[in-house]
Amino acid sequence: MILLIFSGKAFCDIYYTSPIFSQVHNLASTHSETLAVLDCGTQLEAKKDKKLWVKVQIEKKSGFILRRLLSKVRPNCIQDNYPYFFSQMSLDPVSKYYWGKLYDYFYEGNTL
Amino acid sequence: MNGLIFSILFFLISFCTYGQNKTLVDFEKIRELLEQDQLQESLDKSRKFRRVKKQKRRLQIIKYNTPSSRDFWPFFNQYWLVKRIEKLNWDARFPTLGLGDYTGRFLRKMGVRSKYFKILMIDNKEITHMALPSNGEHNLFLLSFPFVKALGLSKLEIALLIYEDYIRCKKGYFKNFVQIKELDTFLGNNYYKKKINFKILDTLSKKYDQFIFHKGFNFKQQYKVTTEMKENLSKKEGLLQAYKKMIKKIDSLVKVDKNYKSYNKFYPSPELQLGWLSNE
Repeated sequence: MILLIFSGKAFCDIYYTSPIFSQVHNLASTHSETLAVLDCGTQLEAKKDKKLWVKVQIEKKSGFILRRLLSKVRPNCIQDNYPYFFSQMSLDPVSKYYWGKLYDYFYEGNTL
Repeated sequence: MNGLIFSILFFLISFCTYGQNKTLVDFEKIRELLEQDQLQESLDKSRKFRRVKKQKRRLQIIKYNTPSSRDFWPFFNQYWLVKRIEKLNWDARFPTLGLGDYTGRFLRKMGVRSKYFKILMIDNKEITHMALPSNGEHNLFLLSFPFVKALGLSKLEIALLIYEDYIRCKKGYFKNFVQIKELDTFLGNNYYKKKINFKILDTLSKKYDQFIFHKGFNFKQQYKVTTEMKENLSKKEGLLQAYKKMIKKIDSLVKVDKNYKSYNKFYPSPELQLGWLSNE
């Protein structure tokens, strides 16, 4: 336990992104600058876990991603299920960017 | 003395018959058995190898599948939204309305079970509200923020509008309109060593545009939706009244505000709906 605390790992949680694409922002706001657009199933290490936003590490930068876009277990991704279809679509970076943005703007709910 | 002679005789007879009862070790048979065993083992290995190889190949081929119908519709709705961002302006800044939980509770109250939904606000006065085609489990609703604001809709009224769109979606009017025959052969097909023709996505996008920006729903469809709303809402106290109030608001708005003059073309018409709702 002491070792874990010293190595800083005690506060890290592993998450996976669940939408087709998702955005990581430099601030905890959907209108802030986008640091990265991530493919579904990208593994992230959480640095701080707040109510709506999770602070994550992206390469050498830290950014924020909406909590509802993350999953504790590896999600079922369309990119993994249909890799040929997805790669052949050749989505351009602009489309990927907006696809990620789309998930920031959705109101999501269920009737489970 | 007799006892001693008998004991010696018994011992001698036993000794002589011992060798006769024992079978001879047949080394030839053992060798055959061992050979057979080894052959069996190598046969098993080769069978297992063939099975693994076949499975690997099957997994490799599966990678060339196109999405199933269940996976396709939620994916394509989002694809279309990304392609039509300039027209729909869904990336405008809207105030947070917290619609997810409230709408979920309302739909559950109306008996809608085991569904996931997404609501996207758009900054467009032409498209006021619309449910995109669903796979039966995942639903996507578009809602015009200027329209909600112009009507001053409450959360309950927004949920009623979403529920009305949910019924339209369940009846499959939009989905049936955009079903092109090429889609049947495209979905859930395998394209191993074949090229996928992505023109189908453009064709489908155009069908979406045609329905959303030009066609809308007809009188017959509107009548069916309104009467189902009437039937379902009348089972819950106060909801039918709230629905009528909301339709009245829409009717008044589309009659005076030029921004919404095309509303009747897409949803004919709030005035008729009020008539259908008041008929006993």
